[in-house]
Amino acid sequence: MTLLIFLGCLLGGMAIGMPIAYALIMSGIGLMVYLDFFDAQIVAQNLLNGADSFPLMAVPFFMLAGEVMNTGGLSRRIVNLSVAAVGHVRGGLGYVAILAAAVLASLSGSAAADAAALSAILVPMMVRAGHGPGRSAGLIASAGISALIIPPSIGFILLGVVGNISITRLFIAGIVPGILMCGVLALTWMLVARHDRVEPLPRAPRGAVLAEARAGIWALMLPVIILVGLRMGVFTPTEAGVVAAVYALFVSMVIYRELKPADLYPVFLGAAKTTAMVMFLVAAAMVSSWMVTIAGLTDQIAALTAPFAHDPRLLMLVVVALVLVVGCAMDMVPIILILFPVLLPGVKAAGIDPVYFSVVFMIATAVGLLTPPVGSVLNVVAGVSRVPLTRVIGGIWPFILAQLLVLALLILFPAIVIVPAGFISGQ
Amino acid sequence: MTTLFQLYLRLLKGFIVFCLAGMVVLVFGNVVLRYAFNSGLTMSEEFSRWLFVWMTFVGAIVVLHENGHLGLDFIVNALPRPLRRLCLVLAHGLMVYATWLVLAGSWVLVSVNRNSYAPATGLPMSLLFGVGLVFGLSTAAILLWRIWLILTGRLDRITIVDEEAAALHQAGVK
Amino acid sequence: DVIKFSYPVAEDSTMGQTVNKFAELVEAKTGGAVTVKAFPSAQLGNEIQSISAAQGGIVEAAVTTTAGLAAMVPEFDMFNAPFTFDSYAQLDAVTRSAVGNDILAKLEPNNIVGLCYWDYGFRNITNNKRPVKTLEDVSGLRVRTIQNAVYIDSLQAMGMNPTPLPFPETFTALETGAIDGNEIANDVTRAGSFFEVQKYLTETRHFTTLSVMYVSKKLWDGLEPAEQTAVREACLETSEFNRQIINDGAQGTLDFLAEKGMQIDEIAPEELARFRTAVAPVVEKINARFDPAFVQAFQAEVEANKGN
Ligand code: NA
Ligand code: NA
Repeated sequence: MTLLIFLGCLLGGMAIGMPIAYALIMSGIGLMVYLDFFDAQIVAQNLLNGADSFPLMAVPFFMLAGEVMNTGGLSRRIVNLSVAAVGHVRGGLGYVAILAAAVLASLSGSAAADAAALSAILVPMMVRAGHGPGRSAGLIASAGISALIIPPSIGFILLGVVGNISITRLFIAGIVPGILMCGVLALTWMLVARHDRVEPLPRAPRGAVLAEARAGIWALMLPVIILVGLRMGVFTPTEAGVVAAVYALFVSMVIYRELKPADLYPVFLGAAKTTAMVMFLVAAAMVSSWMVTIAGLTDQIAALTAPFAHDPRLLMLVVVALVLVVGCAMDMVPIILILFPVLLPGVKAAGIDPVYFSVVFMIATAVGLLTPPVGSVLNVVAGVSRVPLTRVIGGIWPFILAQLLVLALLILFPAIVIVPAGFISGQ
Repeated sequence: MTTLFQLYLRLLKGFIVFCLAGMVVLVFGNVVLRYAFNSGLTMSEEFSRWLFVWMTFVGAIVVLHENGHLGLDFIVNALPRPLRRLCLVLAHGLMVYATWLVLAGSWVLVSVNRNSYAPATGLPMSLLFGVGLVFGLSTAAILLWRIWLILTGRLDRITIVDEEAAALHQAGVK
Repeated sequence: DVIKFSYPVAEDSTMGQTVNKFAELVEAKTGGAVTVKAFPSAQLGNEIQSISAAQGGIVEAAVTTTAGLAAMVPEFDMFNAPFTFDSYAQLDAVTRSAVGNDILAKLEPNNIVGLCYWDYGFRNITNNKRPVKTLEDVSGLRVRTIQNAVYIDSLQAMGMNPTPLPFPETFTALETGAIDGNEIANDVTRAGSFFEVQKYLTETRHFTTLSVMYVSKKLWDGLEPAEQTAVREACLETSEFNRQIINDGAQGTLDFLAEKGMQIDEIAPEELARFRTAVAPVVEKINARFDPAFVQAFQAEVEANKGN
């Protein structure tokens, strides 16, 4: 019954047009009424304390870094360097997109922003070279979600805080699966684009490649600084975020001189507003999760997963399927906040490594950003490249299949995540 | 009245920019102090967290006003107009109720904490929880105004504008 | 009545066992009229959040360190002063004295009723750099601590570089070397697996992790006088149990940590005197904030129970 009240208020609230954050608060209020334990302080205290977290401050810092990179010319230089390096290969612009996405992914925290920056430059180029617009936009959208797997990642920060898992470990565990996703995408691109009649770009002269490399090296240093800094213990994930933001500000204002002091206000405002949206949702989720704890709902949900607990692979399969279905209609942050904490206890009880589970959960959630009707990366790419949504959907399905293949591989062979993560973190 | 509210919103936007800038300065400053001078500001962790809380809830007012909170607008927007208006009034009524609880609860927190001070900065804890009052009053005003617009037939659809829009804007798409 | 009891650590810790013992005693002493439902691991909020929650009455009971409560009743900092207590017996005598109860009573105007003191145990220094045997050895160590001015000032006075860090971030910070050490009770070094990432432990016993068990005024005022007495007695009786399991487990924990590869050191008495001298200005600064008569009464209790 408590489960029904919780879900009824949540889904009912969303259905009549409430923002998800308010629907979460309503589900908390619903449980308060049902349990006859009504107190306004429960709502206010959990809401206000929900945002009071030092680890979560990494969210605004990486958001800010992403905004600065896109407005300050760092993202564009990464794309230019990739074009100069592999643009002359047959179907090369597709590989450019994947390569650039992989590097950008490791810089900014937001998949939507990365996909926007990539598609603004690359989709017109790819269409001019002779690739189908839907397929081009689809490739970029699916390459863009690697932003959430290759560190840093807003998603991993939230998972770490919600599940009480080390964010540094999650970042390190994301490297290999993220690169694997890019590799499988490249193979898929090779298959689907082999019949396209394309004009590869002329091979860039060595001097031009070097020039682009010199310009891009500043941008390329950023992931190195972040990953080495985290791995060597120079700073915590929150500090890594602020270092990334300050470094991006320095490069775009002092080295590239593309970001003027007058641009700072809108850049900071953009990052502050996106953060407020994410954090208000986090805070609202604290209200419902407090009541969920009081009501003992987590035990009920863990009991629901118990029938699968004897077979960890089967449990992972069920969980991934659930996330993919919910991911069609819900965005990344609410999925993490609502599903992850209720699924984690059951998963742990089945003996599954929480870091491994987080990586797989993150990939499944990221695929949700590509699936209609609610797929923010899909919509952003369609909007930026001005390709109708239906055509992007028509072009994206082979790449979604490829990502599902990666998920299947990770479920079948957990060692793909666990072994390299342990190796890189020195355990 | 509307211009006054626009002015208020501009003030709020300026405030959240100040909070974010302050967080950058405090946290980055602490990294520099730790490595360059082998010391650190103990108040930095605490005060930057407070700026973060203020930024979240003051920013949430701005985001509500700009329809930026995530939601499933495609469901309600697919309904016929009379039903859609009914849903919107109901949704906003419940949101006002939730806001009322935030206000009442924040008031309790502000009053029970009037003797408590933050360990590092020594600032009164009521100041931290006071942002709940600012958030509650401001969002209540926005929501009640919307209910009025819906009831008088001047508003019958809410389309969410979220980080997608921000990303599109950044890429230069109007 | 049901008491929702919020505490920040895992159920299998000494504090978890203590809370479970309290639940048992309350139920027995009230004939089941009052029951306790415990929420471990900060499920209902961390230490500081639990204070507000109990003040407003959305949880009925919690246990919070005197370091956390000092923001509300600064007199608790007298217990937090470094190197104040040599032994648990001395500490317990002071907490059960009149002055100990006077400090507890100062909580009541804030809508919570302090019932008695429980403990997590003495805090010791662990680190990854070098064995600590002298004052010079701690100099320059970057050590994680909590957000409390007395803690920070004291560690600084000993020459350390205190870094207030949220508990969940501590393990990774130690693992990656962002900080060198930690100052915490041995039980926590064991329960939090810090021995995996720390090499040296020195029994400095520089602070206690003394805590107060309190209930919301809302609950208290709703209890019959007999029930109030029963609950208070249950708290005090539990405090003996709490001390007993800390004492019983101490050697086992040390053996466990040594077996896991930690090197365990002591501070020689004459060296300890140098530590005390180093922190003397901090202790003076703490005491200067309070009524001198009150400070004297506290000091007298401390002195009277020396060598217990
Ligand atoms: Na990334
Ligand atoms: Na979707």
